[in-house]
Parts: sequence; structure tokens; C-alpha cells
Amino acid sequence: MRNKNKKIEMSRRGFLARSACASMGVGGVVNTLAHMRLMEGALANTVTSIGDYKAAIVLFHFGATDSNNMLMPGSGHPARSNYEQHRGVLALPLSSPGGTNDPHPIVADNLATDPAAAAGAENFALHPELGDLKTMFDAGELAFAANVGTLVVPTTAATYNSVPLPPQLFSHSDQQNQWQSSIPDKPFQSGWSGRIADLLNPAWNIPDGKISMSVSLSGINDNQVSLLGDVSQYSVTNNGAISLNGYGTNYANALTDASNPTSYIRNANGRRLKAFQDIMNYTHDHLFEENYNVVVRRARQNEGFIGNAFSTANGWLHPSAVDNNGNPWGFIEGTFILQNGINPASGTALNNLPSLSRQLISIAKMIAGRNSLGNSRQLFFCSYGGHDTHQDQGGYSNGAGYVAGDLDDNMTTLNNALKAFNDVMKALASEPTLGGDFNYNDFILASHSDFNRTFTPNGSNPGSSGSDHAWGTNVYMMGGDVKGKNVFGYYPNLNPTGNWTTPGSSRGRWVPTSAVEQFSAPIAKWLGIADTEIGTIFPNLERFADPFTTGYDPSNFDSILANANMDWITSI
Amino acid sequence: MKKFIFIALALLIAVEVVVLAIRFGPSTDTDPAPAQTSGPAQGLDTGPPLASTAPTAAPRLPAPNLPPETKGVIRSEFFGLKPLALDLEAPVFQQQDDGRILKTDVAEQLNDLNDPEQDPVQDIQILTSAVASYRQIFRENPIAGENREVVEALTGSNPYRLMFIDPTHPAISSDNQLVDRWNVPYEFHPVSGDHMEIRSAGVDQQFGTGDDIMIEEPFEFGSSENFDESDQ
Repeated sequence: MRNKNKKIEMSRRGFLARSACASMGVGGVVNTLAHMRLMEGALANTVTSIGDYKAAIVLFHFGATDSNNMLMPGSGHPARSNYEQHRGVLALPLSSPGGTNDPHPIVADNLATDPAAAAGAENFALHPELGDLKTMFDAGELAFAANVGTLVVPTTAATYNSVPLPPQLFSHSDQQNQWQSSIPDKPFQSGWSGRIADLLNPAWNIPDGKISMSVSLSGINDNQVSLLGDVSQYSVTNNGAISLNGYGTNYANALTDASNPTSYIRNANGRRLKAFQDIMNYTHDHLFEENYNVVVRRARQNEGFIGNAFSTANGWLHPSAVDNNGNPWGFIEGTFILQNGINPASGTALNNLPSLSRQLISIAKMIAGRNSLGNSRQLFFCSYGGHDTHQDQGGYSNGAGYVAGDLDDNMTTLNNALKAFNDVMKALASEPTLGGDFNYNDFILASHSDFNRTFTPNGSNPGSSGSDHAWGTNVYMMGGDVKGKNVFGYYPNLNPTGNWTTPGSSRGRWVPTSAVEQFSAPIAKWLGIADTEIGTIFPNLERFADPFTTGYDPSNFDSILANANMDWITSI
Repeated sequence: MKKFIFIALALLIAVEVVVLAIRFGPSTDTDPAPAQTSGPAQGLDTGPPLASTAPTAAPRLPAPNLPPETKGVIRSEFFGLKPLALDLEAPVFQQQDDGRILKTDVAEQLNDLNDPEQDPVQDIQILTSAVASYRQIFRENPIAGENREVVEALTGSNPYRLMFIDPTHPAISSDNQLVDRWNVPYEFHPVSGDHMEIRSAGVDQQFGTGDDIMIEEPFEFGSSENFDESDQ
């Protein structure tokens, strides 16, 4: 006979099943179905191998970069004439008097060998400040994806007024959110990285992982929001883990050894920290109280693990960068300092680095110190703001010549940060102690942006003019497994009133030919998501062409949309 | 007992089928306007008092006969946010010969736009109020990356064909842009679906200079640091 008072232990499988049923409200049928699919994926995920390391980094260009000038048509490219005719004062000449600000020509191998590509379609040029990215592109370490954006369904200029479009096109926060969720037609619930973490974390990081699979260098972000809530974002600052306030740097006023959380100093701070930690170790019946303590305890634990990773990485010294006390910089900081042209002997060398470089330093340290963190799959999110160049973008006119502006500053920062990070990753792969089994192809960095900017300028003065909000944009990918020296997707013809742009506008707002999910799905697959689970991470992907197909007819948009040309990662 | 459970399950399934049919079934509506309203007419907060506050049936809106590119599309419907139900017979709404409907309270406010007798900041405030009125009804800002698209949305390119500003307003230029008193188009900057920054270039007619006129609004959606220009 059943004992009604018997406590029923709920298994994880049972909990997931019950929570799915409980959430099956009338109003949320669609979302709940998506939810159930995800949970089915979690339950069915049987990946058990562990040991190899992979880190995916999303770098979000907040504010929307003018990628029309990040990746521009080069000499002989069929869109070059439209670029020169319609870009106005934002058009950068391929060569100018003095030649000090010339764009860097690159040739995309995949288009050079594609019989369907138009003559010259392989010829591009990078912004004048992206000289090191050209070197990386030519070395096969960097690639671009053209005209990617948020989409609900495959869309062209011809269908723009008849198909559902992403809500609030041209709005910063909405488009940032949709890039990060890749589900523009549903209220936000989770980010695509967060869903990857939901599926991969149990198999790849448990039980050895000591910190969250999702680490953010840019505060709380949408991209890493977990759907199941099993993988919390963990925010790390440019200086490492976020410590409790009031105990000095690295708890120097309260602990004799920052890595030992119980090495209390016999002073007021030490006693206060001990008391606080003791209180946090209590257990509570009240769920909120208990969870508060859990969060604090976990933060303190993570802090220790991050600190260990940083300490490990800091032991890797740079051979030529020396600070003002004659001590060598850590290899990672030193590489970024030198790349940014900062005197390493300067007392403020590190503080003078741009935020993006400092974020990538922290990521590099966590990769170098990965054994202290224990995760075999790691997701990083970092960001770079200040791209909303409505004014003072920088441009060129015959009278004024080249006028540097905010885009030039941004591209300089980007160039230095990516170059230094790439150098560190390559060096780490050959570093005998920290490198271990790390290979250069164990990381991938991919960019996001709110949207592209209008192709036509909003003024005629090369100094003060800028560009406004548009849609499909060009993004880049970096890493050993990236099929470098290629341009994936489809580059617009740059006719601001033609059939690549939103109807009714003459500003050149390219309708994306690839959806965010088509661009991001290869990352998920590279990290270990099975083919059968890709649709769980990107539920709208089935509306679009398989990212890995190609063989398009360039004169036919239907053919273009049916051949995504987004197979940008090798060996997946 | 089993019979009762069976009946309850059958009823539950029937309800779900009906709900799903409503949710996913083909729409027979030819216009997105609600068939009736359950409350008083919805106007701007600053609008005149309504003649009646009793629930009234709103007339069905005329079927849109505008060319496709001028049809308003409410993206927020993805999120279940339908436009407010309106009583279009309320005094605040004035039917036009071409089928559009002028929202007179907002239009009257906009009559003061670019009035040389008033502070230019008030121009921004008036425009902000007009966009807010649009947002109040359609649950989101006009979907606009350009000044011209804001003008289109405010002059009837929306599901109710509501006009918030008279298309013949002198502040609307020949190329269908709202211009400031110095004849420079206003800059409409969509920060989010709820936040539209509006800026005038000011006396020097150049954006990005010290005399630009705009209203600083606290940004509430998402992460404000996402737009931190100093994050370099």
C-alpha cells in the first residue's frame, strides 16, 4: 500500500519533465514547445568525452560598426564603382596622395576559385587602420562573413513588405538583443550561447569544471542567458574576479594569503571577513535566503579559481617588456602593451590600454590558466562600445583629403586588440608549461554588431559627417579552425537604391542574406553540438538554408538564400 | 472516477485545440483593428475630455487601400502586444477624406512646432510627446531608421492609418522630413522600442556641435553600458 507521507525524491529527468508540464500555460504554448525541445535535447545529450579544450569568444561591437568601411570592395570588385559613386565623403580611396591612409587590399580565396562569383568579386580592402588584420587574413587566421543580420524568415528587398521582419529594426537595444538570442520573433528568454551552455555543460564540464561555462567580460549580457537556468553567467572584470568590497586589493587587508580564504589577519578587517564568510556558510530554510548565500559562496569560490588561473598565467613572462621597476611584464599583458604602442616602462601602461584589450587580456589569462578552471568547453563574451558614429566618423574628400574620425580610432583599437590576442594564442600553443595540450585551433573569436550603418553618409563634410542605422552587416571570425582568407556569405552590390536594400530608402540598408543563426550555427557545431541538436540551439534555423551549403546562382536571390555559404569552420 | 478523469482530459484537450486554432489558424481579418473596444476612447493624456466614458463599440476601420510600402506593420504583434483598442468616433479622432484619421489633440500640439516665439527645446518636447502618443497606441516606437520613416508613421502609415501630424505642416519638408526651425532635418535616433532620441542640429545647423538640442532621457531598456561611448 502506498504511503502518502513518503517523501518522493525527484530525479533531474523528472524535474525537467515536470517543469515543462507546469509551464504549459495557454499563453505560452509556442515558447513552451521550444522549451520542451531544449529539455529533450538536454536529456538526450549523451556526449561523454572530455579532455580537449575549446573556447568560443563573442565580441560584440555595441553601437553598430560601419562595416561598409571595415570590409570594402577592392580594386576590380564589381561593387567598387557603386562604393565610389554613392558613399560620398565616407568613401575611402584605394590610393591617395601620400598613401599613408590607404586601405589594405585582400583577396578572398573562396571567391577567387568560385566559378559562380563575378569577375573581381574576390578583391576586397580593409580599413586603413586594419593592417594587422590583413596580415592575419592573408595568413589564413581570419575570415569575414558578409551581410549577416537578424531575420525572422528568408527575406529580400522584394519580400520586405510581405514577410515578418524582426521587431524594431534599426533600434539599438532590440537588435543587440536579437543578435544575442537569434530568436527575433519571440520575447527574449535566452541567448544562443546560453543554450549551448545548457546542452554542453553537463557533458563537458561536470564534474571537473570549477567556474561557470559562461564568463562575461562585459557585465551581464543577453547572449549567455541560460534557458534552463543551469549555467549562470559569471562576470569577470578587466582585473580579474570581482572581489568583496572593503578588504583591500586581493583581500590584502584581511587575508595573509589571497588564495587561502581562511588565512585571516588578526585585525578588524580579518575578523569582519571571517564573520561574513561564517554567516554565508549558514544554511536557511527560506529559499531566498539560502539562494543568496549560495550565490555569495559561489562567487567567493569562483574568485579563488579565477585568481589561481590569473596567477598561473602571470607566471608566463614577456622577454622584452619591462615595467618601470625593471620587472618583466607578464607575457600576455606585455604583448598587448607593446602592440598598442605603449611604453611598458610607463607606470600606467596597463591602465592606458583600451578596454577591449584589457578584456581580451583577461580572456587570454583564463585560457592560459584553463587547468585551474577545469572546463573543457568555455564561452566568453566581451564587448567594444562607441561605434554609433552618426557624426565625426571620418572620411575623405578631394579638398580635405583623408580626415580621421571615430571609426579610425575604433579600427585602431580593434586592430591592436585582435592582433595581440592572436599572437598570445599562437604563443600559448607553443609555450611548454602553460600550453600543454592547447592548440592554436582551440579558440574561435567571432564578432557581432547591432547592425550595419547606412551606406550613404548623412552629410557632405568629411570631418563631421557620419552614418545612420541600417541592417545587414559584415562580421569577422578568427582562430586556427576558421577557414581563413575567405569571405563567406554574400557581399551586397552597394547600390543604395537597388535590390539589396530596404525598399523606400535611398540610404543603402542591406537586407541580410544570411541570418544570425546561419552565421552562429557553425560555432555551436564546432563546440560539440550534434547535428540533431543544432535546431534546439537555433529553433528558427530550419526556416533558413543549411549554413553549410553553397553553389549559388549570383543572379538569383532565391538561389542565394538557398545556399548560405556559411561553412566557415574547418573540421566540423 | 476513471470516467470523470476521461471527461476532464477530453475537455482539456478540446480547450487546447480551440486555443491553438485561434493562435495559429488562418486569420480572416483584413485589417488589424480590433472589432470592438472594451473601454473608453484612448487619446493622449493631454487630450480633451471625452464625451462619453461608457464602453462603446468602435467602428471597424476601413480596409487599408494604401500601397504595400505604406502599410503599417506592427512587429510587436510577435510578442502579443496588440495596438490599443480605440473608439474612433470620439472627438479626438477626425476622419479624413482619404481614409486617414487625424488625432487632433496631438496635431494641435504640433501646430506649435518650430514656433519662433517658443524655446527650441519645446520643439523637441512636442515631438517627443507625439512619438510617445504613437507608442502609447501601437505599443512601440515607429520602426524607423530615418527621419522620413518617422514622418510616414506619424502621417498615417500605421495599422489604424492615424495621423498625429498634419501632412501639410510647414515643418514637413518637400522630401517628407521633419525639419527644425533652421530647416535642418531632425535626427531621430532609435535607441530602443521605447526610447527615441530626437535631436536638432541647432543654430549652426551642424550635428555634433555644442549647440545641438536634445532632451536627455534616462535609458531604461537593456544595458546602458551598451552605448557607453567612453568604453574605449
